[in-house]
Amino acid sequence: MQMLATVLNNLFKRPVTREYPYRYREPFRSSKGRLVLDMRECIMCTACEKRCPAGAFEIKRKEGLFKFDPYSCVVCGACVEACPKKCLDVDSDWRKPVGEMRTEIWHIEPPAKVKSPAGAETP
Amino acid sequence: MSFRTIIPFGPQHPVFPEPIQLKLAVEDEKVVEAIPGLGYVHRGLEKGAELNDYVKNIYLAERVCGICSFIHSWTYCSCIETLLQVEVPPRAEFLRLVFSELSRVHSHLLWLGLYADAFGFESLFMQCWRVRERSLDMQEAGGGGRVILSTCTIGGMRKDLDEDMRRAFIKEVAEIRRDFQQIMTPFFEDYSIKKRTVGIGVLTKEDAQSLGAVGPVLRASGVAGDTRLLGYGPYREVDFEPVVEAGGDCHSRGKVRVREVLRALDLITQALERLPEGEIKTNFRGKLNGEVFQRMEQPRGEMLYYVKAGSNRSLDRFRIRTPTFANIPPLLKMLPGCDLADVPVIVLSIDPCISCAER
Repeated sequence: MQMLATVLNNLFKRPVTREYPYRYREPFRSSKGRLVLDMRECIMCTACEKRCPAGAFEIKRKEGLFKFDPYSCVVCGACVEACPKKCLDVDSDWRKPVGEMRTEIWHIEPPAKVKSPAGAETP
Repeated sequence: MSFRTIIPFGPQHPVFPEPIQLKLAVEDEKVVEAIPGLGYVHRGLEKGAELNDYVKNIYLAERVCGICSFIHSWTYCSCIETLLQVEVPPRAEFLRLVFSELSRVHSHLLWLGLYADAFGFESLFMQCWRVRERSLDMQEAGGGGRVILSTCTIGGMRKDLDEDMRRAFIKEVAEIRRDFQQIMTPFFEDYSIKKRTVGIGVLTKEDAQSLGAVGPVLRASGVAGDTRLLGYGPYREVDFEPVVEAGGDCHSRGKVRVREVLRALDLITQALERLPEGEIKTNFRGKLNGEVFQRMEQPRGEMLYYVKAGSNRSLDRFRIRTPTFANIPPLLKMLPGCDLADVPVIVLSIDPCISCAER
């Protein structure tokens, strides 16, 4: 009898669960889904590589190589705060399932002189 | 005449989400002794943290536990703030309280569901998890993740709550309370639940104190021991009283957690209503120096962090004592004398989190 109200509610209300993947819940505005990179402004300062707790970035300035492994990334957002050019952003939507895990690689012409990232130790 | 047999309970058992082994010495159906075996999920997190930059350790600390991860990051940040002598803004402190109490709500609701499942009440299990989903949605809306939030940082918080979200949170907490009150009565009054839990796994007040029980296990034995009473963070500014039950059995441990869900919802509402205006983060500079102990109350009980500063942005020593580790000796006291069929409920009643205990 103690569960009667719950039982009646469950009988007449629509289901709590969703038929995923046919019905997809929209992410919350501030959800940390995945990291998106806009490499046009990147100056290869390596601030993101230094702050990343998961080692998802690998940057070789002399070779102009920028690697990002989205499957190591823990979407903490430390790199987003560190980036002086605001190249990085956290998107609220989750990454879709994939058949093959690939590292994202960019070849960038590094600027002649790069200033070291801001000195404050705040993550 | 009865024969003594050893039954290995775990490491793989339907009642355990994580591996721990209990070697149960039984005579007929009665358990006479229990010998624990730990070490199946040791991850070396403490050593890993010592090799890491102290700022990056925030993300490591919150991965110690998959349930109360926010409280781990808060405790770690609090240790580093003490070492660096950083003042945390009051708004950040209140936001930390909100998210830590939210993790208590979802941890207890998860446990209540598993507890109901352990004695075969599967519909109650599903109802508890339905309510829990709302608290996870709140964490995602406010912190960005369902469990791992990464919002706590040294010197404050990384995400603020705007006014709309603060109002929405207050409303949502009231709805979670209403939903939970509708399903919580069986934990107190249901005949079959009482039959499976009353007088089972009794831990007396004296044993609880002498064996060092913590958290709901201690409070269910009639001791008002709660680390939040120390008044760390903003707990000294909100009205708080620990939940205590006198029974000492599995039923009392269930009741303590049910009432703690309501108490935590009350604390969240208080904190949101008194949320001070201002900054949420203090910038910091300087080198770590010295060593610090920090105790905080997790959903499972008192947690202890020890941090010793090293040279060059690393730590010399990082040590965590989690509540499950402290609650294993009381568990070994509860088990002798019980029926073999009651072992799953008794083991679950301490809310074992083995990955935390072994780190």
